[in-house]
This record gives sequence, C-alpha cells and structure tokens, in this order.
Amino acid sequence: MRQHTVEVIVGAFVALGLVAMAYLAVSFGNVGFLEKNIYRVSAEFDSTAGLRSGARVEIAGVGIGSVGSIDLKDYLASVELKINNGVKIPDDSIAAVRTNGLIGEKVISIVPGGSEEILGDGDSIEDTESSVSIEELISKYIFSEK
Amino acid sequence: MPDKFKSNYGAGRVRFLAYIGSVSIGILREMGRMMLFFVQFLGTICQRPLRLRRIVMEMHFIGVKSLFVIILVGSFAGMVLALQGYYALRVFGSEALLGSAVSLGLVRELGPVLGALMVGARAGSAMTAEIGIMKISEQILALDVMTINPLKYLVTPKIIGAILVLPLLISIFDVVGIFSGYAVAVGLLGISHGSYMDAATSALVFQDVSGGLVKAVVFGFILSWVCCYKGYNCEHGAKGVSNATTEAVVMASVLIFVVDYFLTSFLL
Amino acid sequence: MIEIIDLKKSFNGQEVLRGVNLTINKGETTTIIGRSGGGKSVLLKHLIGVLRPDSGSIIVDGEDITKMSNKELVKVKRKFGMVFQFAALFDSMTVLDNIAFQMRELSAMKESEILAQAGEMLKRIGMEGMEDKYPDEISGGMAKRVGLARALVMRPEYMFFDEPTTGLDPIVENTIHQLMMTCTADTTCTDIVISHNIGEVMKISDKVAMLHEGEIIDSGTPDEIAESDNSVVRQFLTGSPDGPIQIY
Repeated sequence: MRQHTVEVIVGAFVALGLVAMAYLAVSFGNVGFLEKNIYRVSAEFDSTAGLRSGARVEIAGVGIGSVGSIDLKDYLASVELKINNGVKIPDDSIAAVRTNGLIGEKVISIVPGGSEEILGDGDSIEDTESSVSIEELISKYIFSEK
Repeated sequence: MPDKFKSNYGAGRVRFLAYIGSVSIGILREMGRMMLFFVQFLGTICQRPLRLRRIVMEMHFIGVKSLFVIILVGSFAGMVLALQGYYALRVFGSEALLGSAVSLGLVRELGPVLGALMVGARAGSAMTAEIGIMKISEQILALDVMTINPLKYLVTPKIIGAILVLPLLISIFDVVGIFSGYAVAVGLLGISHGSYMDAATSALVFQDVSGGLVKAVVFGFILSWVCCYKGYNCEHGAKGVSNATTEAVVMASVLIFVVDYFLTSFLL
Repeated sequence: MIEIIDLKKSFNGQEVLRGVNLTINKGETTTIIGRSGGGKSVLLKHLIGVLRPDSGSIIVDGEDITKMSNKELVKVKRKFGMVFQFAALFDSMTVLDNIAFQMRELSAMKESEILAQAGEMLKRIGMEGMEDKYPDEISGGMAKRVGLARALVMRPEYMFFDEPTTGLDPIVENTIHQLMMTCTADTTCTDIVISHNIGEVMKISDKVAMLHEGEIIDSGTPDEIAESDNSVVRQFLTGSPDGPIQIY
C-alpha cells in the first residue's frame, strides 16, 4: 500500500515534468508538431548580420512565421523562411532584415507587393533589403553634422 | 606542508618536489578509482534483476522530494533575472527584450546549473551519507555476504534515478522561472504581456531547449556518480562519513561548473 | 568441510596473514581466538569470499574459492550465513523486512510464504510483536538475535559469527548461545566463531584455534587448548599481563 502510493506520486511527478518539457519544446523551442502547417520560401540577402535561426517573420508587424536555416550561397546569405499556411505572399514582395528597437533582435519583415502570382513552397523572394548596420547609421549621422 | 612529509623526503627543494609528486599521484589514483567505479556501474545496468521498484523509490527521493526546493529556487531565479535584466536593458531602451533575456538565461544556463546544484546539495549529500553509513556499519558487507551485489542494489538505482529525474526537474525549473519573471516584468515593471511572452518564445530555438536537457542529464549523472562513489569508499567512522559528504558535494558542484563550460562550448 | 592452506595476505607491505593452515570439520563448531588486530577479521573475510588472498587456498567442499570467478563464487556463498559483530541490520528496514530480505531478493517464494517463515523465525528468537520496529529502536541483544535470524532463514550450511556476544549481558549471552546451539543442531550446520570471550569459547566449541601474528599457533579441542604448552596460548587464556605478549 505504502509503495503503491509512492508509485502514484512518482507517476504524477513524471507527468508534470514531461508536460513542462513538452511546453518548453513546443511553445518556447518553436518546435513543431505544427511544422506541417507551413510552407518554405527562400530569400537571398547581401547581409543578414545578427539574424538568428528561429527569428520572427512578419508582415506589417504581425508574426507570420519564422526563420529556418541560414546558409552561404555564392557569397550571399540564403535564408529559409517558414511561413504559416494561409498567409499568401505575392511574388513581387520585398523581404527586409529589420531590427526591433535600437539594438533589439533582428526580424524579417515582408512588404507585400501587388502581383496576382502567389509564392508557393520552394519559391523564392527576389527583392530583398539587407540589414542596416547601426555603426553605419551612426557614422553617417556623426559625419553629416560636420 | 603536512608534518609527515618533513621527515620522509629529505630537505629543501627535494622535499617540496616529493610533496607535489605524492599529491599528483594521489589525484591520479582517485581519478582511476572513480573511472573503475563507473565501469563497474555500467556492468551492473543490464544485470538481472533490474530492480525497477528501487529506481522508482529513488526517483521519489531525488525527484519528488526536490520539487519544492526546485520550484522555490526557480521562481526566485526567474524573478531576479527579470529585475536585473530590466535595469540593464533599460539603459538601451530595449525593455521589450526582457522576456528573451529571462528565457535564454534560464533555459541555457541557470536552470541546469542551479537545478543540479540544488539537487546535489539536497539529494546528493543524502546519497553519500546513506551509502557511507551502510559502509561503516558493515551493511554493505552484509549485502555482499548475502550474494546481493551492493553496487547493483544501492548505487545503480540512484544513478539511473538521477539521470531520469534531472531533465524533468529542470524543465519544471525553467517553466516556473520564466513565469515568475513574467510576474515581475508584467506586474512590477510595467512591461506588456505580449512583448514579454513574444520575446521569451521567439528568442529560444529548439537547440537551446534540447541543449539544456542534455546538460540536465549529464549533471544528473555527475552528481549521483560522485556522491555514490564518495559514500561507497567511505572509511573511518562518523568523521569519515561527514568528510565524504562534504567532499562529495564540493566535488560534484565544481565538476558541474567545469563540465558546464565544456558542454556550452560544444552545444553552441 | 573447509580447508585453509598456507593463506597469505598483506596490506600496504604489512603481512597480516603469514601462512594460515586450518581444517574446519563439517557439523562442528570451530572457534578462532586471538588478540585484537591479530588478523581474525581478515581471515574471516577471506573465508566468506570478500577478500582474495595473495597466495594459498581455501577449499570449501572440495572447491577452491580463491581461484573462482565472481559468478562461481556466488554459488558457494549461497551456502554461507553470517552474524556480524554489530549485527549490521539494514537500518532503513523494519525487523520483519530485514528477516524477509533475502527470501524476497533471492528466492521465488510467494509473499505469504515469506511472511509465514519470517514470523516463525521471529517466534524462535522470542521477538513476536516487534516486527514493525526499526533496528535503532531495539536493544543490542535483540539486534544480534535479529541478525542471527536473518542469516538462519536461508538455511546456510556454514554459519560465521564475528564476536557474537561482545558487549552483551551474561543472560543475553547465554540465550544467544542457546539459539546458536538449537538452530545449528537441527540444520546440521557448521559454525565458525570469532571470539575473545574465553568462557564462551570453552563452552560452545568443538575445536579451538589460536591465531597469533598471522599464523595458527595451536589448535585442538577446548580441553587440549586449556592444557596447551604454548606460552602465548596460556597467557591469552589466563589474560595475564606477564608473558611473551607485552602490551607496553
């Protein structure tokens, strides 16, 4: 009887721990059981300085997906974007690396175009804007004052 | 320099070299014994009977009974991280990133390290003392005479239990910490619900979570291994048990920090 | 029968056993006497297969246990039972669990059978109603009795006693002797006893052997030992401070 109680308590503890683990993995680790509900498009940037895998992809500031892998391709950064199904992106849209706040984290911001053609899985966004270097901005500001 | 070396090893520099040598040999011998203990433990894992019930009992002792202290430490760690992070980030006007600071700090480092240290202090010291007392009161010898492998009966369930339990405890630590940080950030510091949660969730990738869990497993092994070893090789009565307990907790804690550095450098 | 042949063992260069020769006959009670620190405990640990000698052999029922693998040794050790000097009961278990421990771990018996046997054993050592006590809640004499019951429950062929009555009052001492006698009489068990207590030795032994400085210097029946012409044995039996053994 006493041992039986212990087993029940340990079972409850293991369940609690597994729930915590699953919650971390799915909600914070952005892993997904929901991976099926995305499609992938790619975009090439001159510079992605500071962009991390897992960063947000947004349109008009609304999150619509996340950044997958970031690879070097012909001296350009090739970024995989995982976009939620149901979000339609015209093929003349512009993808830009933006910063939240002054030194905040980098996100990919997409400005939708007006084309009738919609991007599908495996397509790529041709128009891109690279990340803006704060150092460049600051030096521009300082030297233009003079 | 202890007195015993003064008479044995001649004079001056020679004596000093001899002292260094004997200390080094002692350290090497201890490391060798610990590795041997580990190999013997590996040998017992698959031996029958598996004693699953003993593992469940150890999970109860190491896991369930550490839950309260883990929740307590986890919540305060999350809260202080939120507070410190807020004052640091405010300088740059980036308070919106507070959630990221808390979740990254907890999941990657503070959760595994603090969690393992707390479990080591609570359950690890108890393991050393329990096994040590059984050693000096001949209970381990009694098991041996009864043809019950003491290592298999006493040590193996503890190490397996610790390895199973630590990832669970540390996941709970992380979740509790992130939400305590949330309480401070949203309740006290006036950061909005959305920006905290959004920053907290978007900063982490799966490698961070899985890396934290790998650390948890490794730390669980280290602390139970060191603590069982020290108890199992305990000698000279009550004083011996108290020395072994102190040594075990100190050594396990130091090893956790050292291994943490190397794991971090491999995992990142 | 156990034959010990030229058994030698050193620790850190110090010779503790320097060639022990002794024959322990089946069904008899053999007592090993000798000064504290004279190697009795080390000899006992060799007999029960916990320590391995540097050289020499121990032959138990025709098999040399010093050359066996650990796996083979287990089979021989199943014939052994041991009562420890300080009982060495498992202090996290109740008296009943201590007695039932080996049956639960090593046999395929049903729990109801185990409890019946353990209850029977408790009755025999006169401790009915104490089954739920923990070892720290009972007296030293009771702990010794439980230790005896714990060893006897597996019906060993060889029983080892490490100072079975040290630190007990004379009445408890005698009840322990009675228990040893009755228990071993009906299981045709061979007893090997280590003791300092000369009165006890003379009373319970069939054979007495004196271990001194790592060697058996004399052995025989209690009467023969009492008449020994070895001066060390004579001094040990009388406990006189004057003789070949000088403490200071």
